[in-house]
Amino acid sequence: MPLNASVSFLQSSAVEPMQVDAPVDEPMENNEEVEQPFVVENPSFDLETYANSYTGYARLVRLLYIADHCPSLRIDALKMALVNVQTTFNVLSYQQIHRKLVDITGASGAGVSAADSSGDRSCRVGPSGENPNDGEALMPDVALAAAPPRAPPDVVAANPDAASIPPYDAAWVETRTKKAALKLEKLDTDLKNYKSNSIKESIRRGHDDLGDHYLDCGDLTNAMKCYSRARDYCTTGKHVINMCLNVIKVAVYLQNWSHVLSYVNKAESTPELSEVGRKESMAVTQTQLRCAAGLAELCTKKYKAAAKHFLQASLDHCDFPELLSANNVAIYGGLCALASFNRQELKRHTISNSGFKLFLEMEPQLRDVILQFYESRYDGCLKKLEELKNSLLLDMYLAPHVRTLYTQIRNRALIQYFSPYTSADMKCMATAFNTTVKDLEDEIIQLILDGQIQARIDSHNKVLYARAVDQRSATFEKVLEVGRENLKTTKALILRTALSRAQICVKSPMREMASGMMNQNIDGIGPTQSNSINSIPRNS
Amino acid sequence: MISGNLKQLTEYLGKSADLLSKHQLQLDSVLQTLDLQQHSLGILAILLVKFNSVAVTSDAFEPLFVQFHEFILGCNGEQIRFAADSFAELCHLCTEALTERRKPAMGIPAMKEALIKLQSKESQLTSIHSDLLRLCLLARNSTAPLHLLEIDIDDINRENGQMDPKYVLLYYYYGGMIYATRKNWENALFMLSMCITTPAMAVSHIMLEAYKKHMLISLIHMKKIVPLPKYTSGVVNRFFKHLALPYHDLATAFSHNDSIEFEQVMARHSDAFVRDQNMGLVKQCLSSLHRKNIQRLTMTFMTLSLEDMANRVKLSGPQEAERYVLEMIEDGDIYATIHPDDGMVEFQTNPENYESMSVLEQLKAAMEASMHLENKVQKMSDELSVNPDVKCDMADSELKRALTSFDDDFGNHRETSKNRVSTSSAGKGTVRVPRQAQRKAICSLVEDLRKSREKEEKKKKLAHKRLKALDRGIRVLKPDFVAKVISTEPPTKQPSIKPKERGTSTFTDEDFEKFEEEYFVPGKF
Repeated sequence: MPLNASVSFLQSSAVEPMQVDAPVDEPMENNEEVEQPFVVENPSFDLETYANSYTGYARLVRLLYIADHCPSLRIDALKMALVNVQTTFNVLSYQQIHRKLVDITGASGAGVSAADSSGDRSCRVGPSGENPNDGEALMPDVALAAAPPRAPPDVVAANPDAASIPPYDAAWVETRTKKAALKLEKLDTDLKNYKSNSIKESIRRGHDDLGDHYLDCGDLTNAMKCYSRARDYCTTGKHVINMCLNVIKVAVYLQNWSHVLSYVNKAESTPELSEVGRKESMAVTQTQLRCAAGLAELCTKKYKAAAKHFLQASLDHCDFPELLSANNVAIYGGLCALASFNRQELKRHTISNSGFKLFLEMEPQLRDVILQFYESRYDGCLKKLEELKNSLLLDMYLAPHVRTLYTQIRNRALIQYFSPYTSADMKCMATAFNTTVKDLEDEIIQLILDGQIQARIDSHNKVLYARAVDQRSATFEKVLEVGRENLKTTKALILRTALSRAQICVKSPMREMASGMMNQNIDGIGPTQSNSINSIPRNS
Repeated sequence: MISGNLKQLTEYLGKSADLLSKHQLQLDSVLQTLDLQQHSLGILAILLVKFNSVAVTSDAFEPLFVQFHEFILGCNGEQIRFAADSFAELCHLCTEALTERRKPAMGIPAMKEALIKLQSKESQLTSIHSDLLRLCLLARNSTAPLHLLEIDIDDINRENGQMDPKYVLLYYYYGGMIYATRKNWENALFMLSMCITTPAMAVSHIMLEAYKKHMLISLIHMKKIVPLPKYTSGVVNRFFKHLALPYHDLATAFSHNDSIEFEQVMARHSDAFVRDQNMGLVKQCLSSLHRKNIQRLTMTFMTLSLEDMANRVKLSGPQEAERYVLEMIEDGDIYATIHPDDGMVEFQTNPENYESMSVLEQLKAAMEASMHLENKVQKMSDELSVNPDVKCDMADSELKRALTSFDDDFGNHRETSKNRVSTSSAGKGTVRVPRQAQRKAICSLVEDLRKSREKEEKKKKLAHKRLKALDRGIRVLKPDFVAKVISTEPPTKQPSIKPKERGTSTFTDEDFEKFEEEYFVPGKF
C-alpha cells in the first residue's frame, strides 16, 4: 500500500502527464504556498452517493478534486467524471480527464499499458474493443474483486483498470465541438434578434441561455460575463434574484468569494425576497443564498460568520445541488460553529436550533461530536473528529481549512476544560485530551501567550494554576504609567510650541547651500557618533 | 551705550568682514587695543575673520584658541546677544576645528560658558548646545552635558533669524546618543523622538539617523516599536519606512520572538548596520530579545529548569540562561529565585504591594511634576492671551473651526502644520510664515495642550478616586487582611501611613478643584 500511495501521489501532483521527475521538487513549492498536496488513504464514504448529491459542473470539480487527493478512489472518480462530462459540451475537460485516466493506468501498470498510453490513441479503440458503457459499469467490481487475492496489488490492480478504460471517443469530441459551435452561433443570432427588437425579457433570457451554454462548455469567465450582462434587462425582483443566483453559482466555481458575497447582498436587498418570504420558492432561494454566503465566508476564513449563515439554512428548502449538498451544509455549519462559538452560543444556535438539528441528523458523527463537546467529553469528541478528518479532507472547499478549524476546536476545548478550575493537574488534562504532557504544555503555553488562558504552569510539578490579578496593584501601576506618559507628552508639546514659535521647520528647497552643508555635516559626523554608540557593547 | 548704537555697530561689523580679512596682519594689534568687556562685538568680528583664515592644522591655531577661550570667558553677554548669529558661527567654527584636530575635550568648558553667555534664560536652546554635545560625544565624556540635557527646553534662541533647524535636530540627536551611551534608554527615546517629530517638509539625514536609532532603542527598552506621535510630520511616515528597511525587517523579526530569525536578519543586513554604525545597538537588541523571551516565560511558568529555559529561549546552555536570569533579577525585570541544587528557577509575582511610604512619595512627586508643568502651560497660555499681537479671540471663526476639528487628542497638530505649509507656500517661495497664521498655530497648539492636560488630569483624578475606593474596599472586605497588616507591621508604622494618605488625598482633591476652576473661567481665551 505505501508503494501504491507514493506512486499515485507523484502523479496527482504532476501537471504534465509525461513529466516523471517534476514531482520531486514540486511538493516543496506547494508546501510553502498551500498546505497541499496531501493524500487521503482510506476514505470512508461512498463515491457514488457523494457524486449524486451534486449536479453539473459542481459534480465534475468535486470528482476531480477527489481524484487528485485520494489514490484509492482516483480511477473511479475519474471515470465518473468522464461519464458526467460526456453529457455536456465540455470537450476540453473530457480530453483532460481521459488523458489523466490513461496516464494513471499507463504509469502504474506494466510495460504493456505504458506502450498503450504512448501509442496512438485512436488505434486503441480497437484493442479494448468492448462497449465503453459496459466497461464503465463493470469496472469498480472488477477492480475490487481482482485486487485483493493477488500478491502485488499495485501492478495487478492496474491491469484490469487499464483494460476497462473507456476508449477515447474522437468522434464524440468532434461532433460535440461542432454542436457546441452551432449552438453558440444560434444563441448569438437569437440574442442579436432580441436586441434589435429590444424586448427586455427576451434579451435577458438570451443572455441567460448563452450563459448556460458557456457553463455547459466549461467556459466560466464567459458564462460569468453573460449572466451579469443580463442584469440590465431584469424587470422584476424575481429576475434580479435569478440573475444573482446565476452569478453566484459561477463566482463560486471561479472561487471569487467577494463577488459571491456582494451578489448575495444584492439578492437579499430585492424587496420580493423579504416581502413574499413565506412562499415556497422564495424559501428555497433564501436557503441557497445563506449557503452561498456561508461558503464564501468559510473560504475567506471568517468561520463565525460562515457558521451563522449555514445555521440559518432550512433542510426542507435545501436544494442547491449545483453548489452544495445538505450534508455539506451540516458539516460546514457544524464545524464552523464548533470552532468559533462559545458554549452558550453553541447551545443556543446549534444544539437547540430545530432547523439545523435536521441537518445534523444527516451527519450523525458530527452530531455526536458537537454533543460530546458540549458535554465536555473531549476525549471522545476529538477522537471522532480525527475519524472524520479523512472524508473532510476530500471536500474541495473545506480541505484547506480543516487544519485551522481543528486547532481552533482543540484550543476551545482546552480553554473550556480549564475554565472552572483554579489549578489543574496536567497529567489528568493530558489523558483527557489524549496527548502527552509535553505536547500539552506547549499547546497551553501558546494559549497563555495569546492571552486566551489566564494561568501559569508549574513545570516542576506539572500543575496549571489560574492566575489571580491583583486589581489594586494593577491600578497603581497604571496610574504611575499614565503619569509618566503625561509628563512626557506635555514636555514634548511645550517644546513643539517653542519650535513653532521660532519657526523651526526642516525644509530643503529654501537654502540649497544649507542643506548641502547639512549633508556634509552628517557625513562628517557619521563616524564620531557611531564610535561612541559602538563603544557601548565593547564596554559592557 | 544705547542699544540702537550696538545694533548699528553689529550691522557695520557684519559688512566690514571683507575689509578685516584684507588686513590679516594688523588684526592682532587691533585686538590688543580692544577691551574685552567694552568692545566684545569688535573682538568677535576679528576672531571670526581669524578663524576663517587660519588653517586648522597649523600651529597658529593653539594661540587662537586661547584667545577664543579668553574672549568667551570675558566678553559682555549683553553685547554678544546683538550678534548672536556671528557668535554662534564662531563657536561652530571652533567646534569644527577642534573636531578636525581631534582635541574635542579642550573645547567643552569654553562651549559651556559660551552657551550660557548667549542664552537669555536657562531653558533656552541655542545652536551652541549642539556644538557642546558633539564635543562631548567625541571626547567620550557623557557626564559633562547631563545637567544641560536635564533642563526642559521651552524656548529657542532665534540668533537674529539665523537659527538653522539643523542645530535643533542635532541637539536632540546628540542628546539621544549621549543618553544611549549611559543606557538611560527612556530619556534617549524621548530625545530621539523629539528629533523625529520636529516639523519637517523635507527628509533630513539627521532625522533619518535618529529614526533608525529610535527604532533600535525602543526595541531594547520597550521590547517593541514605540509608535511615533500623531503629529509626526508626513514626510517621516512617507519616506522613512523605505529608507530604513533593514531596521523594519529587524523589528518584524523581533516581534516574532524568534531569536534565530532575528540573527538571520542581522546577518543579512549586517552591511547596512555596520555602515550606519548601529551594529552595537543591534547586538543589544538581540540580548534584549532574549530577555523578552525570558520575561514571557515568567508569564506562563511558575517553575522552570534552567535547561528548559535555555531550550525555549534558544540560548547556548543553562549557564547562559542563568547569567541572563541573574542580570534580570538584579535589574528588576523579573522576580525569581534560582534553586542551585536542582537548577530550577521559581518565578514570583511582583512583590510590590503599593502600601509603603515610598509609593506615596512617588505618587506625590509625579503629581507635583505634572502640576508644575501644568502651571507652565497655563502661564504660556496667559502670555498669549494678553499679547496684543495674537488675535486669539474664541469668536474667531477660523480658529474655532480649527479647534473643533481637533478631536480631543492633542496629536493632531498636523492640521495646524498643514495650514502653515499652505500659507507659507503661498508666499512665493519665502518661508516666512505670516504672523497671523503662526500665532494662530501656536494658539491652537496651546489650547489643544490645555485640553489634553485637562483630560489627563481628570483621568488621573478618577484613577485616584477609584484607587482610594478600592483600597477602602479591600480593607473592608478582608478584615483578616487588615488584621494581618496591623499585626505584622510595627504599630508605629501604621498610623504614619494613614495621615499621610489622607494628607495627599485632600491636597490633591483641593488642587484638582482649583484646576477645574481655572479651566472653566469663561472668556479667558
